[in-house]
Amino acid sequence: MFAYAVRRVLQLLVVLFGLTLLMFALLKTMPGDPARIMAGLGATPESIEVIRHKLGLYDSLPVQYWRLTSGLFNGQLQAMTYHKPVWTVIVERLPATAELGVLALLLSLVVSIPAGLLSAVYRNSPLDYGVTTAALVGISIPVFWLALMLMMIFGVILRILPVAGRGATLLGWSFLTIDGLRHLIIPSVALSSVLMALNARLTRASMLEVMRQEYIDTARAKGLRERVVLIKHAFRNALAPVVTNIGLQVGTILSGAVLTETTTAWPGIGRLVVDSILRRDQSVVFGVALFMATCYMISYLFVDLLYAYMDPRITYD
Amino acid sequence: MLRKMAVCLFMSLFVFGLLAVAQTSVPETPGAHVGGTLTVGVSQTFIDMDPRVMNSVYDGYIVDSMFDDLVGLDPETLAPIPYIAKSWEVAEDGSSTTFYLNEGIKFHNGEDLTAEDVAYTFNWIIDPANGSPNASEYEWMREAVIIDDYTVTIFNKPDWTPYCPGIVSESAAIVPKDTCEEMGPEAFNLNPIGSGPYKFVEWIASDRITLERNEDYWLVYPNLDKIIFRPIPNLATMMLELEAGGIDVVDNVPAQDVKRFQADPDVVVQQLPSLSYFHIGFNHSHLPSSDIRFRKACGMSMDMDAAIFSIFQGLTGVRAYGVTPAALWANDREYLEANAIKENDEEAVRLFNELKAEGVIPEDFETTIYCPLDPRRVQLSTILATNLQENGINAQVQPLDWGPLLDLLYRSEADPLGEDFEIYVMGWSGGPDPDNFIYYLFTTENAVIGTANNFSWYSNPEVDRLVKEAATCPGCDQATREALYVEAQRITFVEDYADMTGYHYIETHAVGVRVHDYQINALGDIEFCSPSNNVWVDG
Amino acid sequence: MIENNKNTLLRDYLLSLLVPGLGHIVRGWWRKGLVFWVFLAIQGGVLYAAVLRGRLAWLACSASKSPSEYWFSTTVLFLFFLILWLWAFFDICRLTRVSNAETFVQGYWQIVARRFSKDPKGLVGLVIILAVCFVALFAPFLARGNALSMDLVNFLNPPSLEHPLGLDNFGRDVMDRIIFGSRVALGIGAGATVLNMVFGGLLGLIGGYFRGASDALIMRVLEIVNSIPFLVLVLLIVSLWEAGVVTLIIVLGIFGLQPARIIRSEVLSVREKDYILAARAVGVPTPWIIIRHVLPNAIASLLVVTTMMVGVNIIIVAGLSFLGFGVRPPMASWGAMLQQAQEFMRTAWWMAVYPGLCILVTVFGFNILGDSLRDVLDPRLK
Repeated sequence: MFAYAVRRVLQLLVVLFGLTLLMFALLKTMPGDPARIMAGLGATPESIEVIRHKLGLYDSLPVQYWRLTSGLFNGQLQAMTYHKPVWTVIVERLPATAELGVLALLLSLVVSIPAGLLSAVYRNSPLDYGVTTAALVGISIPVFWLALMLMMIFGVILRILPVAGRGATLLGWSFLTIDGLRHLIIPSVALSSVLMALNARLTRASMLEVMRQEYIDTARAKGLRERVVLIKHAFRNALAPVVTNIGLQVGTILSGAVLTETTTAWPGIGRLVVDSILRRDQSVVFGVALFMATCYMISYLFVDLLYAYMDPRITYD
Repeated sequence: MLRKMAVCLFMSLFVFGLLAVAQTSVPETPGAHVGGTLTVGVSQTFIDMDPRVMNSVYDGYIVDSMFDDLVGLDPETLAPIPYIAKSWEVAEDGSSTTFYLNEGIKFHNGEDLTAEDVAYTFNWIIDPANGSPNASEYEWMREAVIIDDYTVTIFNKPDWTPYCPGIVSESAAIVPKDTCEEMGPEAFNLNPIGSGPYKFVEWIASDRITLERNEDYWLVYPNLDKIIFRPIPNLATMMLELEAGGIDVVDNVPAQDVKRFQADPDVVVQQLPSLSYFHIGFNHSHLPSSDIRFRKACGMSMDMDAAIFSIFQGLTGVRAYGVTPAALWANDREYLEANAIKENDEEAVRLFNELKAEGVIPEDFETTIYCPLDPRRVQLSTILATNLQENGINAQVQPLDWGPLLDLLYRSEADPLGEDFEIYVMGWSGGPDPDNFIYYLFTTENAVIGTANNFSWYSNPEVDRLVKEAATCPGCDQATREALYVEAQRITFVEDYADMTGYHYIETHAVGVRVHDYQINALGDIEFCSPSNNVWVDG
Repeated sequence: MIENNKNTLLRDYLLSLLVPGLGHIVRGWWRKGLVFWVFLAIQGGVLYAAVLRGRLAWLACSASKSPSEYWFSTTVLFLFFLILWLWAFFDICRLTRVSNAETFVQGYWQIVARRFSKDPKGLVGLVIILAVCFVALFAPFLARGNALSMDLVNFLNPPSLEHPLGLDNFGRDVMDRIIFGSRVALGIGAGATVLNMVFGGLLGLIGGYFRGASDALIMRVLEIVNSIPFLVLVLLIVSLWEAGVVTLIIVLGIFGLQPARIIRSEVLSVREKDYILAARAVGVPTPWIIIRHVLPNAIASLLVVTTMMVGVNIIIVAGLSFLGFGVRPPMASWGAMLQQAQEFMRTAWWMAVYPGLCILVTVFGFNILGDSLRDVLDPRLK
């Protein structure tokens, strides 16, 4: 188990290294000179030159690569356009994305687990069809379109929710204030549509799988009440894959956050990455991409280890 | 929108030697309510708060409220008016201008604003070592020299003699020398300290910038307790937010929403013709677009009037016939309008066929119209592309973000396309002088690899001569200069048909009814508290 | 009974590769062979008319006449042709694999078809997809104008009898644009998916079958690509080139590596089966084993993944278009229509609502079909 963990961490480092190479190659081949964008229309060649020197764009590629990577790890890497270290830029926006993601996830679990459970128990009933269809719709709906529609309906026509932005914050968190919570609703509902769908399907499938097991028949044969069988025996076991799968949804959340945050003017790292790509702020794009990837991979690793820990049947060699 | 406004006010010789004297004062608005918070929606994320390096219109709104300019600009006549400088004097030979500053102006940290700060600000910007993006606006400036505590003289470079420095853009806002040197440029950018009516409070990345009243403002007592600026890059979201009451001011209203807001009792639409010019440009260094028949055929393919009407619905933009904005003198509107090319599809097809037969247009010709990601310019490009397709030219639109677009238009070496493009749609904003437009966009001096703004590389010695003469002729009055510009424009747009004139944008802001005394200045900036206004909101 | 030795098999496979369906006929499955021939004749005819006679105009998206669109529609045609060709080949591989009794039961497809016909979900999905395909194929006949013609005098008109879905800001008919937009959606969705399956499938196959170093390398590559949110990665890569249909297909096709993982795990489980071990033990060459035994057994999950990937790709293209990196105007695509519509949310809701619904319904169709295929193809269910 320990050896396995060590090996996984090593793999993670290899992947991170590969990712830095990939990102660096992409950023350097991308058309668009960051210095020229910073200097703006009609800038003199001299000022563009100076900015290029300041950004270190004339250094050799290995030097630039080393500056980006080492700077990212020791926190010294300066953003090109934000006048701060890249880490600060990311950390400033992190709470916004974190609370959006977590709330969307919680929302999806609260809705999808009971829904999946019920639809598995009443398999092939109208309820089941309803849930599975809704889940499919949830996967098929473009997040940004849903966000726009929600904004139009609840923000403008009904006027019961604020349309966009983050609202009041306390200690950098929106969910601690009433106003902030109200601002959170539309983006997190939009973002959770996909998660809800995924989790409902997963719960249903896993529940069906468990209910096929022999120990459920045994429990029933013992004369336990159906409710006890379902909740105590089936549901508990069915929940394990759902819970472990949460870790894998970090990627989905981050991808969805890019579109949701852009549409609802939510100041998180999803919007940061789009802004920075447009401005060719290579340091920030590099930093955010690596940060997102690390988040994803750590949660992935965590899930794997958790899985190995929880299920003694699984062995790793 | 990136911006680089070379704002040079041209003051011809007849004002040389005159001392401009006027009292800096703000008219008291009767019934103004003091207090309250104003929330402003801005269509782009903020980048810089240091006026020395700031070069975006959107950052300008905020910087304007935190800093004072050396010279103001009269919203109606576009003439310079006293601000920090209470008066100024242009040297006999036009080689320098001396500014006399108001005394008793304090920065937000209590420091006095003196000639030292003014000289420091300008010298910092023009120092190449600092790489300020605004340096190109001060190409004419040699040095700012301190005369005494409240007098500063700005010397021009020799060949820029006739330019009187109209130092009116925000980049001329004065920063405190000592604090700047202490903090360093990066830190100052994040914690700006100015002398303006509102003080910096906090900057929550991508979400908001909050300013509060400067209790000790030297000019007037600012009416608002607080101003919050919120960047909302998605236009649709911004309109929804305004309607929902989340913001009081929207800085960019599409035409279709103007109509709706005009009918809305809660919103007032404010407009001001901007000093801008948007056009469909052709690459003159490259066939077939360097052939005038091709350009004319493109012009005949589309009904520009209808196109502009459909994009702006007659509300937020007017048709341009020449490069000089309609709001400015020397626009020669009647003549250029009368001689503008009208839609004529048969003739266009005939010309295209002729060019194809001659081999000027290659057999498998396919062209791409390049434009920025700005919806209006994409719309204009789309209309042209559709019309060209109907006339047998395969055209498509490629909206590009600024990086690759500038690489392309500057013909920089980094760009894989080199100069292989035919049509582009771009815009230009300038200061209140015709020279700012035709000089930058249509003279040979500005067709240089890697930088300048004559993206078309249009070059006509006669136009160069006329523009140069109009800009430098000593002893010229406005009428003489106007005649020169008119002639240059007639050559450019009628004889040579250098580009397809598009539109002059009308700055359109939507403001909640609770906001009063709101002002857009001629450069497209919002004024919250200036020599000519002081915004207040209902209590 | 036809002799099933290596030589006759090789002969029939080669015949099948040269002329799809010929292998079937030689082996006596003449009905099936003829069906392939009929379909191939139709497709070949279209291809001939389109490519050699240059009559592509009505196949191009958005009725534009640009060469790149000709190129695009030719590619799509070729892809369809290629799919049928490959299908015929794999079919004969599957049919001749009588030695393998574990999964090949006579009438497997009959069982599948019977189950499928009883599955309302799958039928709904199929109907939606066929309807969208029909619209895409016959767009020029269904649309009353074309997707490009503008009317700069009457624009932004709300839905009426004349224009059932209203006019957009250039006076273009929203319904016509939606009809032509279906070509772009399906074209990019299907085109990218084919590449996904080729690239991802190949990687998954190699990794899963050969294990060892190549597997480790492939897995690391997959992890690297999968670790960044896909949209961010694609955004970065798309901006390397000029946007457009072909760029989108290539970028999505090459970097959408999700199928690789699924195919790899499928191959992993298949390769441990006794019949593969047996085949290896008697010295059957590896490519042979892969083609004859591994692939046909993984075909169920391949089908499911393919179906779902089309939906995923359509959604991603819509997202990219929304951020301004989609196809080039004035071409009609649903995502780009949504992006344009944003500005008109409050004044012309029809511009935003209908293209969004189209994306929703189409993607829903692919997802529900994939879902149903998963159930239907699962050999464990009876």
